[in-house]
Amino acid sequence: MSPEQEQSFDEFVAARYAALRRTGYLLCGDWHLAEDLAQTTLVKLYARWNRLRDPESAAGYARTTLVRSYIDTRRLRRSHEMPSPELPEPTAADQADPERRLALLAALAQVSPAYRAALVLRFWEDQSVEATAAALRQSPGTVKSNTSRGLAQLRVILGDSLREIAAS
Amino acid sequence: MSGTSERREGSGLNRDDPAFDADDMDALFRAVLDQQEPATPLALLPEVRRSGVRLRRRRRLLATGATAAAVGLLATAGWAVHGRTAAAPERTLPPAAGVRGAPAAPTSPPPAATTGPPPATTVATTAATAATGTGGTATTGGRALFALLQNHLPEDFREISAGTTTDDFLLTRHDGGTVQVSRRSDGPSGPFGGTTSPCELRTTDWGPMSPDGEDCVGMPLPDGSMVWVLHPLTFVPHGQESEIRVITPDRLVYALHFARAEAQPEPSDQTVALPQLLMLAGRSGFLAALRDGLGDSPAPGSSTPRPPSATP
Repeated sequence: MSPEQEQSFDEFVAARYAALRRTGYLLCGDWHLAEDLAQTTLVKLYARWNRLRDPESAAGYARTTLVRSYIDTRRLRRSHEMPSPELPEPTAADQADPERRLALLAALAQVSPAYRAALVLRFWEDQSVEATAAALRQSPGTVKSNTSRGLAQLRVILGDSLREIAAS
Repeated sequence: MSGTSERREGSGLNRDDPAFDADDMDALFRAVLDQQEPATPLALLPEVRRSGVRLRRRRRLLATGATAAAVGLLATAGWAVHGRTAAAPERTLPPAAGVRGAPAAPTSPPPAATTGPPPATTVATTAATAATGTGGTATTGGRALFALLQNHLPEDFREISAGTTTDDFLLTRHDGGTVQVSRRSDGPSGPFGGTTSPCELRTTDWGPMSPDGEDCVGMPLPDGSMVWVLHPLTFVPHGQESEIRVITPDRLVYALHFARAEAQPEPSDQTVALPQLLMLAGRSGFLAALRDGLGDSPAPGSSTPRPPSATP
């Protein structure tokens, strides 16, 4: 790649890495895995950087790659790992109300990965139904129903807590 | 963390979904993220670049293989249509890439001025000729390293074939898995030279440097160089990448990298056992073969000859 392309990639990483990792964390609930997801995304992006005609499209490409990597990871893990119901111990880095945060993480962990991906893309990444459908390789109808089901799952798990969180 | 208003500005989203409950969900996500985030990993960018280059090479390799297969099929079909069946030794195909003990090269059409499709094997035949020393411009290093790998193939493998450049090769394991081998030079190794294990955390003027790998085993070479074999610390599952790294007395670094070539290897897939790499690195002439002609590779897609496919 040319020095200019290298520099623009550096700038993209500096600007977007933290956001990518946060989205990854919302998807998987684990900072280490979120780092892996973000790094995998950046590696794939770098391999293709010189072919991106529109640098503005990089953020969208990265978002899509991150979510698909998460789904792929879930598929691999499903066949190689046993799920653990235990939550990680809170660390000193945790700020106020870690119990509530862990409870929310636990609730999110119970939402099916496909629903969770739809929720994160729509409500955190502010993506439209159509953009979410494209990222997840699903139809808009599936995205809508997955979003509804994901929300329904969360409401069942959290009960009134969801409203309380929003009100707090 | 990105704020709601900041993220929603001008998004113009379609919020006609009756289940849409943006405020609740946004609050939930922000509550989940309400914590101190881990620091950005050390050496993030160098690692991303290194893995990105590897990925690009791997894709190129797969694309080249697919193209070669398609061209071969088309050529076969074309010759079949034209009914050419006579054999001509000087136009015979080299052994199929990566096929151990391939039978005598299959016959192919005569070299007469053709009216049919051009023989797609010409480039490969030329490459084979050049790489075996009878012509062409293949770099000496490419041939030397290929020959050394061919003659001292680690026991996990059963065959070797050419890659996309003179710096790449493709090995096939006994279990059928494919491993891309690529060599590189990394320039001066910094103030540590070869005696410091690349698996140790190092303190520099610019702050701590994370280890490059794990499971390091070192061995000095007769010329004073130091060899390390290791599993690079990347995001891929342990064992899917291995590396021989040689640091010369003048602190230049030469590396031979082994990585699974499949697009999506299984987590249990391995490349090669480190003791076998250490044995390979100890072979006479290894460093000379590794560094000779390094970087002389042609650009992908050029017709510069490459080492031929071969078997041990």
